[in-house]
Amino acid sequence: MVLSRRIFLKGVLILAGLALAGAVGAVLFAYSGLYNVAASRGHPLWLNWFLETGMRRSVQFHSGDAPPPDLSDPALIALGAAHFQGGCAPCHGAPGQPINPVYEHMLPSPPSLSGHVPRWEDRELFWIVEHGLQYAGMPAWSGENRQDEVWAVAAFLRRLPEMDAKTYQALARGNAEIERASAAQFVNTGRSALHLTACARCHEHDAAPPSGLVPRLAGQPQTYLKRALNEYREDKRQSGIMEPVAASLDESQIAKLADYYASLPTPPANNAPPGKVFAGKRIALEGDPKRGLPPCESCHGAAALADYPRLAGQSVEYIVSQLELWRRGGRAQTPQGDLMAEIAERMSDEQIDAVANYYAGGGGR
Amino acid sequence: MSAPVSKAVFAVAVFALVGCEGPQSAFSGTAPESSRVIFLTWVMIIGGTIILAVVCGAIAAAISGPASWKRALRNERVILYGGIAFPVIVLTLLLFYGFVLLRAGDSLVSDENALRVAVVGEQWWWRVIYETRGGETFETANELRIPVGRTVAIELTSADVIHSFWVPAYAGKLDMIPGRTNTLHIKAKHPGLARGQCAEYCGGAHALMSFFVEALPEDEFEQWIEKEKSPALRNNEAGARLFHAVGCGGCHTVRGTSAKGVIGPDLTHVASRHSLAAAALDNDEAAFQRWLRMHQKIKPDNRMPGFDFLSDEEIAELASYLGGLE
Repeated sequence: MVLSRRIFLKGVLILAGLALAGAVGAVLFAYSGLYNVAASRGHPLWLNWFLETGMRRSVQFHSGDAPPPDLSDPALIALGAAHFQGGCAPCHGAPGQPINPVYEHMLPSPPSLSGHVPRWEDRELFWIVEHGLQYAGMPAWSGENRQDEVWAVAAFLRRLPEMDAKTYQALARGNAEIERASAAQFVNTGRSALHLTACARCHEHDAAPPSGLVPRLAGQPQTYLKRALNEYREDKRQSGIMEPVAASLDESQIAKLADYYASLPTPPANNAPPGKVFAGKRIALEGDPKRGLPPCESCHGAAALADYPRLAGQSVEYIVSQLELWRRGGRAQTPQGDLMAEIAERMSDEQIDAVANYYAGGGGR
Repeated sequence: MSAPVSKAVFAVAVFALVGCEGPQSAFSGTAPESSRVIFLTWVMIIGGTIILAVVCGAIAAAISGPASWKRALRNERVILYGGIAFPVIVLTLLLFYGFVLLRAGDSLVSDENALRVAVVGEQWWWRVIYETRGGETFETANELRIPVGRTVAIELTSADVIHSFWVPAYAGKLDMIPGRTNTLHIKAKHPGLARGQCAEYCGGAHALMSFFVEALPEDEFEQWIEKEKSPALRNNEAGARLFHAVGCGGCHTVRGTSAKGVIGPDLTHVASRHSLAAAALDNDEAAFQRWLRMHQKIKPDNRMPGFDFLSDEEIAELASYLGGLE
């Protein structure tokens, strides 16, 4: 009995000594500079296995089990593709676009995703896009509370493996090729060169956006457009898609873009079921006093502040997605957004659907 | 009792009595019903005090009185008459006296000339709907004006939770219950200003749900009705446009303009009321500005959304317009 306790104590002491020696050794090893951190050298096989396994298990462990939205929705896929082109393709490449050699020499080298995507489940793709990966240079999503946008990228990634270059380009480029303005046109209409490249991919005046989840900017008040871009630029309005775009704009470019889109005519109406349009019209013009819901038109009508957006011609998907974003607090960071969050909380799902159809179907003009 | 102590007691008593004065006092009722309530209260306070004094005297005698008194108090009949028969008789008489005095079961409904007003309790303000002699109705908020000498039938209901309508100067409390209409009848004897308060806890800002009741001579009351039911005075066109552009009209009505919202209080003649925000603020332009800037601090969780993006100039413009809605 006495003997076994002595052996036990001895064992504990030896283990503690070994742990201490290991820790001291690790510190000395780091301090010595012997380990070569060169990206050109690559990881030794054992370390590669260790990091890969750690990542795979971590993603499996942490990705939640929230049911994904319908990832076959073309609006989601197109929106994801448009963002992928600007935000992801430089490092990961895309069908018909090799990886940029600069990024290819990162360690780990960003994988071409066509081959990698099938290894992950939907929820795991979503988790990686939202949270990024440590030690791999994969950034987290830059818009807080914008899971709707993250799902768009996941929906696109799901389609990526079987996508050919032509389909990809049509999706990613959007309307950019539809119309090119000459230098003379630019001078006459105040078109910025930037508009032709970045903005028009999604926001062209005479064509429907590539995805219903993209708003139409034509005819919005100039003050509102400026405010929106400034809010994106200052990280007040959250969007992993628009924040990086707005961050590269300066005051004068924002002013030019706002002028340009404000000068365009309001987009045309889409088809919408008359029943929903009728129900939506009531809410838009009279509100629902029982729920404390004021009429939409009191703030979005023709005589409203130039600081408020107009709704005519926006798609059903866009209006619904934004009202849902408001209801879950994703657009309450600005004073105007906070006001709308209060209103959106008072709306039922049916009311949101009805007003979205009213404005998409020709209402509000 | 030493001089400083008695001074302190005097001071406390004075302060306590000051609380019995003022427009919301339950002791300065001026209407028939509240006068009867106050009379009954005094009957009970004085009667109760006399009985308490007698009981205290009996206890003192039982502890340290002469032996003959102690013997008398020990008598079973004293317990029987003083402890059982006396309370039963006194409380029974008091109950019936109360019924008779307060005219239970009786009501003033028979008054054909009665003014009808509906008051709806909402978190946390009062929607007031008047019916004119011609049968037309119009809305106002957070204030009642009543004619002296005429019965007023106040139909009480609630839009959300249970509230209670209490104007101590005129009547006792009456609950406002969702889905039910309780009718309260009041009658003012003299002109004057009284204050009322929600008397049933109804959520965070319950304490800030008050209102004023002003009794006016019949002719002044008729003038007031004529003015109150008419459309708003035109004033400050720029302010009016801003009011509309900001979206205020989505929730508030200003009769005679495009503002037709029915969610919040009617603002047609808001500047002529005795208070703002259900008697939470005075009624002047500074108070309008204060409300527009920080109403969620003044009355947390009220249903009006914040307008924190408005500039100082815009707030001043809106306050000037609202201050002109006499």
